[in-house]
Amino acid sequence: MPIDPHIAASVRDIVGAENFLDHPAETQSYGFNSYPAFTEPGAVVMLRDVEQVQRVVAMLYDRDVPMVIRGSGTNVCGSALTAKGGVVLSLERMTRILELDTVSRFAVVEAGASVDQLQKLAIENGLLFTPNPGNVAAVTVGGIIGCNSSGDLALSYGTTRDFVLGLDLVIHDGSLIRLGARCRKDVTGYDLVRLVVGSEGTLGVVTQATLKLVDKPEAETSVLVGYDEEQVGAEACLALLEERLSPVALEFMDNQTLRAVEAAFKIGIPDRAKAVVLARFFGTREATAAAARRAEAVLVRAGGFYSTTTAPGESAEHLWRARHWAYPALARICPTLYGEDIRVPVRHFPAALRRIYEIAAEVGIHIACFAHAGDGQLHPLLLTDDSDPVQKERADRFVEGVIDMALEYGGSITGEHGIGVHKSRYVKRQLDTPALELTARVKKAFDPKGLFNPMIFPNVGPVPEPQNVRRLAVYTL
Amino acid sequence: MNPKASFARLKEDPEYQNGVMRCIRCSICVPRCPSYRVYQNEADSPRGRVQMLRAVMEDRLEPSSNLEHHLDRCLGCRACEDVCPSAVPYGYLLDRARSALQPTEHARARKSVVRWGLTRIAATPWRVYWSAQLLRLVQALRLDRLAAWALRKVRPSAALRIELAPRVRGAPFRASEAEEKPGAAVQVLIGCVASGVLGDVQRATIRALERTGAEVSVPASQNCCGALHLHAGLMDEARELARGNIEAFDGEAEVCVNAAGCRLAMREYPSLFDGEPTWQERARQLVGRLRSVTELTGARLNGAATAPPPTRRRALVHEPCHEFNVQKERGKLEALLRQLGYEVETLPRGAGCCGSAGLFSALQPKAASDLLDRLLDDVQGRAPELVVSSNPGCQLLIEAGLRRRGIDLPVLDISEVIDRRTGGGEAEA
Repeated sequence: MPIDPHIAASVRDIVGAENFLDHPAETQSYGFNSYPAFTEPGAVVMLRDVEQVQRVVAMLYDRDVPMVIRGSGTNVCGSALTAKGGVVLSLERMTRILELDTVSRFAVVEAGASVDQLQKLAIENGLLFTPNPGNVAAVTVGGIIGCNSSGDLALSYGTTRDFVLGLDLVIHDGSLIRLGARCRKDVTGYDLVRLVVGSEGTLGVVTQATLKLVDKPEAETSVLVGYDEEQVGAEACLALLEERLSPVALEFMDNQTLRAVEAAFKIGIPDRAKAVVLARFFGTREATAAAARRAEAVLVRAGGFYSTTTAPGESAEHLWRARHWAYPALARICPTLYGEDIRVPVRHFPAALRRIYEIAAEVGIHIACFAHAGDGQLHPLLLTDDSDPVQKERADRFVEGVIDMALEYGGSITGEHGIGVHKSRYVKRQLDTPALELTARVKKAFDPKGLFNPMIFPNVGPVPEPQNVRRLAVYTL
Repeated sequence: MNPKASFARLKEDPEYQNGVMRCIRCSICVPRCPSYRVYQNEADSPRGRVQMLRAVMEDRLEPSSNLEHHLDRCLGCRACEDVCPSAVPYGYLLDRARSALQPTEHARARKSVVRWGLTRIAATPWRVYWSAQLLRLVQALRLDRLAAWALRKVRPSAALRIELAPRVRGAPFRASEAEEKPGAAVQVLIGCVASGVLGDVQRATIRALERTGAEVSVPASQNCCGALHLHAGLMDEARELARGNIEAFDGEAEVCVNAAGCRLAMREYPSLFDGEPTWQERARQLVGRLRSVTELTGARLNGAATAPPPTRRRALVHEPCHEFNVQKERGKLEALLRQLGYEVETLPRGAGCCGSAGLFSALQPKAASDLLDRLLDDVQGRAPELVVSSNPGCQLLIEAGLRRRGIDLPVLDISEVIDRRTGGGEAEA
């Protein structure tokens, strides 16, 4: 639905006609994320600097136009989908890295900068930025702040929230609020930075952030071990954690995932393997080599039949890319993917994995599963077809089943992808009524009219029905 | 047939439909896309384009001039395919969509000129020859420079287009210049633009092949490979050209196609003949015999490796997108040049497409020049003595860009280098 022509004219005056898109072909190009639902934004505004953000937000808010903030649109739970008649605020052109302090170890970065760009710059300067979502080449700093993304290295380094020292937030009236500081310790007032990180664009527009960097290790090693059974692989992860070798990442891929990954990347995993465990160590050359040797021994002793280890200085990029890009590789098998994202205390990882397969079998749905096993983060992926009402209903039952299971184990309904339109209706299963009421009051303090990302929690609006019509049933599992 | 009906027919093509559906919008392709880098608009990214095609397929979007505009801005470099974990056949989708989209009103005049050129000139060897002769004359009289100078204020994009146009090098080449030898081990495709503008490259290719021991034949009945037609949405014309080449190169001989873009188009001939199994099989048979000049000469260059070192030793390789992204022929140019005694560096892929991309530099000169400038900055930073490519379009555009900057740096096709190092000798190589 196009937006009011007077409002469109006012936005054009601020950003220039070339930065305002309202043709359906262009707006539809901004109506999706990597979640299988499609919306039709009324318009897309390409923002170049914070002043434009302030002016556009104040004007649109004043005219009651719903807004959604979009970086690179990679979200897999639908955190950046537009409400009817809403406007996409695209930050993809705000990509500058404004400052890098290699002594104090921080970078000041605009929200549209790619995480990959920041990581590369950090490495060139002997530093690391470790929030590392699988699709790191595409995701933006604003995106990972919005969703508090983490990825494999969170096991040792923590999530994005642990890396944001400060940020600039534009709120409903266009005012710019500077939160946090440029240092690692800061207890001045409430920690509003941590509140904003993970708020999925429901409180305002993050325009830039001060991000912590850590020292780059001297060396790294990786170990990959294959198993005949998924459950054996899952138990092996716990055995490795028991050894206290401090892996920086500990990952798991199941049989279905491996088949897709092998088709896409040909990393040479034997057909026999029904699961693999992949561990990574950072440190000195000696320490990482020794840790890898011990880890390999432990993982093989736990039932592995195949193993490969990279020495310090040897690239394991092919292995990690295969793991990081497992999600899109699975599209080779089935193009409608719902990426589930439950988290359980790691002790329950093997049991949760077992339960996931049981629930899938009970409801009659195909899944693949991979996991950041080291911190109990499971990603069962539904391989389904939304155009088939039977499968759609089964998919919903599966999601509810795994969510309830995660909560029974004291876990979370979403560990790193976010709530989005996918999980908004399930939040009340994890948060009790007082917590929901408090959340609503916080939301109102930042966004009294509920215009920032109104499709998702805590302002649950109409959830768009996924427009996902596939007429050929050629994908067989 | 109107575009809506043409797109409706594409719904019957399972490869098209599944290809579109397979994109789960992960965005891994987007940072690799040169057109996204220039325009910074999702609609100018591979993901955005595939999603627009999906919206058309699901009747959420009308095929419009705006859709056409964004499809036209694609270079077809297929860097997206190279990184796509989901195996979306982007090139296939793009070619079919362009074919389904008849030029809409706003683009009709511009496109009718292109289509006229492709169907009336490029598809007919003698017309290519005489057009190249005419262009050569214009350039010899410096009329092109005069025109660019005159237009630089009033029509800067037209002036830019002229400045980026290929400079004819040597006399245009005709198939009749070489012999057609039945039973020869190697047949050579001379191409359309390449034979007209880079006649010397074709001669060098033939000499290089002969000097490395191959008996060479140039089939007289061959024609343009059809790549430009395919990318301009002229699917039927491309198919007819393919048919002509399948006939012309019938037999057992290896077929040397020195231009990476032409070689890729020919590799994809089988996909043009869905529903025509006999032609499809003949196309596959031809694909099995396609070779690059690097492949054919590489193993037989032992003598050249012992020749005195070249005067211009520091060579910089530009691997054409088609060769790198789709045919995965990586590192071969570099290896061959080392064998020939050069110190070699290859431009990193971060530099991406040079902006040539078939007709892109003629149709979108500003964007092409942006991409070219980034690449040339990289080239200049590395201070080579020689640039080597293996695709005529890239070679000609890089050469034009360097000329615009007033830099005297030879840009050679790999076959010219092989030719010179095996006795065709010119000082700079």
